[in-house]
Amino acid sequence: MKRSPFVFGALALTLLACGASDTPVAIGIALPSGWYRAVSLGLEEVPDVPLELVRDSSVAVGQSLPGMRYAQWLANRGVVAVIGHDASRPSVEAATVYNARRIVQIAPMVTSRVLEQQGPWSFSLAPSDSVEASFIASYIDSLFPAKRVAMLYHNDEFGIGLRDALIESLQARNIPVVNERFFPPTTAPSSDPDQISVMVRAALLAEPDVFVLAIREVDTKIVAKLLDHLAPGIPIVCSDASWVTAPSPDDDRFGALAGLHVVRFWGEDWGPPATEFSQRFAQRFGQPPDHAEALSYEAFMLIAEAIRSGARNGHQIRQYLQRLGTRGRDGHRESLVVGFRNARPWPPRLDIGVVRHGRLLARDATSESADP
Amino acid sequence: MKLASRVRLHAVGLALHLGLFVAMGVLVAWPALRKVDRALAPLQGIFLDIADRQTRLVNQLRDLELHITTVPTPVHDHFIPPHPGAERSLLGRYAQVLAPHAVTALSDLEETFSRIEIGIAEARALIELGDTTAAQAKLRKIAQDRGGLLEQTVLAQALVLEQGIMAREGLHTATWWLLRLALAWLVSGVALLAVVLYDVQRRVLQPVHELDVAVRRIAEGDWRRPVATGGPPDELGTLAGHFNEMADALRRRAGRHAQLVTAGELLAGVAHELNNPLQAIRGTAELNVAPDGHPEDWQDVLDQARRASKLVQDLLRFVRPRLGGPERVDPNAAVGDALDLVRFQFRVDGIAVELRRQAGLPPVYIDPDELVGALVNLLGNAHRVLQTHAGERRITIATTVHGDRVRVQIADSGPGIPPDLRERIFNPFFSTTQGGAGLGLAVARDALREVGGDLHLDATTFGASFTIELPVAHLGDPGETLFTHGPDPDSALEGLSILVVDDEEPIRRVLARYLGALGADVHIADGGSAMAALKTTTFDLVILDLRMPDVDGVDVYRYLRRAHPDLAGRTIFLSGDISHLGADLGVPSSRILLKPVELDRLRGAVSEILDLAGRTV
Repeated sequence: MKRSPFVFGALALTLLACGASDTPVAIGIALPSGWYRAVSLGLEEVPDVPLELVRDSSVAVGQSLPGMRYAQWLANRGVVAVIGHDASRPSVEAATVYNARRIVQIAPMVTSRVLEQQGPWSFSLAPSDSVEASFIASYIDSLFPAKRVAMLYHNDEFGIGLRDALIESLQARNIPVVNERFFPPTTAPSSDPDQISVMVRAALLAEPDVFVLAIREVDTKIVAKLLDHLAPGIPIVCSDASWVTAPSPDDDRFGALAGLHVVRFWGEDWGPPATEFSQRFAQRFGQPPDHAEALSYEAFMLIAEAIRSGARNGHQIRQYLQRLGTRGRDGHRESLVVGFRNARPWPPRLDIGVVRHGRLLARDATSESADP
Repeated sequence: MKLASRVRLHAVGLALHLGLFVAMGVLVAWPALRKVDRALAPLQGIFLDIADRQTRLVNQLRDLELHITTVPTPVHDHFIPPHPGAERSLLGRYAQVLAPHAVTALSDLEETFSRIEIGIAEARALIELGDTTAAQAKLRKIAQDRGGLLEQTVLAQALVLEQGIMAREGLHTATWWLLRLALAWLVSGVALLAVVLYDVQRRVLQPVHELDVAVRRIAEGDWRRPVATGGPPDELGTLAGHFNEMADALRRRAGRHAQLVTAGELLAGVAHELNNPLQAIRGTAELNVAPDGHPEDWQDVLDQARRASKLVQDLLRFVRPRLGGPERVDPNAAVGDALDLVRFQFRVDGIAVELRRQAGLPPVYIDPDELVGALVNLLGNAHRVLQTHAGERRITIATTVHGDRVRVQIADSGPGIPPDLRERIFNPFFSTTQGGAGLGLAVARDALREVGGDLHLDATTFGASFTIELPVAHLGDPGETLFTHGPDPDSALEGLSILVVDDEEPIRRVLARYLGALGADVHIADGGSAMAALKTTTFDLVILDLRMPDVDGVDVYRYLRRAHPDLAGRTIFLSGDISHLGADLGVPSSRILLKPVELDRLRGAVSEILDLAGRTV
């Protein structure tokens, strides 16, 4: 009879848990509108999962201060997990809030290793900058005979992380970086085209054979057009941030983009699940997804799977993700396993796509992959 | 609860009290201090990071300006820009630990830093491209931004500093809590200590005090109230119970002792009653030992009376300790006295006594009763051993003198003393016999050592042998008693007027006949009539019995001292009861003769006291 209080306590907790199982789990969304489309698609596909999305579409989550305040707003709304933010710097800044409040953060496209230093509650689906830099160095070394590299990057966690890793990887292959120029952080407003022009022309003074761009898409288009004019035919290898979406019919830079080599974290040609997802997305929104949208979809589906498997709070979702994830030799995150809906183990991959006819397509039939 | 458990309980209680408050202190102070620490910890980092980034920008600007003025021709290799050093934004590092308005200021500062950094990079590029004019224009624009940068830096640092100052409030709260906690700890500690002290007082000190009082009470002879045992069944309660048992045992033993004392007192009275007729018998016999009668019969009567009176005196001396103190004692006589007391038992148990007394032994200086007591103790021990001994039963007593020490050795033919007991037999309360007090040998040795003697166990291979050693008495030793001389055969009492005072008519008559036969004019009286005789008649000497009904010898002596002081100095006292001699009777103890006294000794005493008084006999 002495155990009766414990029995009643356990019963009450069980009833509470049963009652709580129907309570939707609040998930915060800190993504640009374009990426959010993929999440909304995922939401439509898991109507059985008790979750609700918390989002304010009016906030520029890719900027520093607004992004930080948005993170605090989400935390105050009681979300247990957040998908976002988009770029490395705002994601790293917001990670301080999420880790302090013990909220799971999945940043779909962040490559900066600084993210994992913010705490154990932050995850990314993308390969780290060191993996990406090593892959780019290998690509340059194997495909281009000339070995003088110039580099343009953002002055932030993303750009500097990739720049440092790339210099290290290229030096290991005896390929010098003859010039480098940095742009404002991605959190700053778009760069001034005149300013970009000055930077590109100055970089060309070092007579590079190859340009590596660790800059966002909008800046990539400007640089590509400049180089098409100033140094026609010079190979341009872009990081994952340069995914080129289909240009509008009046986009005069369309021709300049053709032939760009761009790192992809996902491709619709990466097998049936990717193709099927691309088809569903195109059917729903009228155009195929880019890899950021694919990984945003994947981040949402991972959380949905976690909730479907019984996770109801941040701690349980974090445990679920940790079981899927892989960690490097030093215990740091390399990348979360990409599962895609059916949570099938899938090591992080990347390859190089080439812009053809305004779309980023596989360079050839044989895609390369990098094992972290 | 046991005392040890109670002590442990107190210790645990005090430890828990301390531990509880330490834990509470940690629980209360730790979060507040941690909050303060978290608020203060990044402040230094923020200041350093801002200063470092600003310094680098200033240095780059200075280099750039210097380059424009001194090296107009661009050499782009020199202008591979250094690492801008913005791998992590200030916001990403510190936003979480700063107040919102400080975050805003830091964000503005970060933007300005980025703007200046990219401006410097653009100016470098322009210089490399040879457009110095544009570069200078760019630098001027940067210079405008530098003013804003300084303002923003000061603002951000001020806000950060304000946060540090605000953290002081948390520190104050933690300190205040700790102070209150310390006070609570002190107050509750004092209360707890009071409880512990009260408990110790009630459970430990009070019972110990009661035991102490009980011990003192028993020492003072009050056996009535044992220690209260109604308390808790702890060690002190058990001790109190054992103490009460011990007190009961002592009370019973004291009762037996009191019985013995009473028996001694009764014996003294009986002896008095016995000594008086013995005195009469002896005197009569002495007077009638004459050639014309049947001297053999009278001699037998006399011998038996002497023997009986000596036995009574020896027995009284043994059972009634006197306060006479040491004196010159003949060791051989003491041995004889002791043997007289135990001779009968030896004879009954078939124990042979071999006596080897060296003739002409010098006297020793000791209380004769204690010497006899020690000898009787040794003889009694030997008797107990030989009583059950299957072999030869013999005791050898030898007296010798070696230099200035007299030795009395008493050896028996018994089984001897086991080696493991030889070291312990002189310890108090050590006894090998059932019911033995274990005090005899210890007391005897102490008495002998008090006068410079000793008692030790001899190393023998056969039986047991003890030796008493005593120093020879010196001439200067005090304690020389009167009446030790024998009678002067030439002395006569003719012409002397002697008053004999005794309540026993036969004694008065015998003494009167004896003294009268020596020529004295003898008057006899009892206590009551002695006073009247003294008032009407002049006497040369008084022989006064001390114990008499109605008016006793002490009263008569007081009268003599008051009315006839000279005659008081010529008074000889007789007593058949030595039980009262230890008390201060107010009479000179050196002039007391114990009944039954030999008539010749009485005659000697008369002569001696008259010589001392300067009177001619």
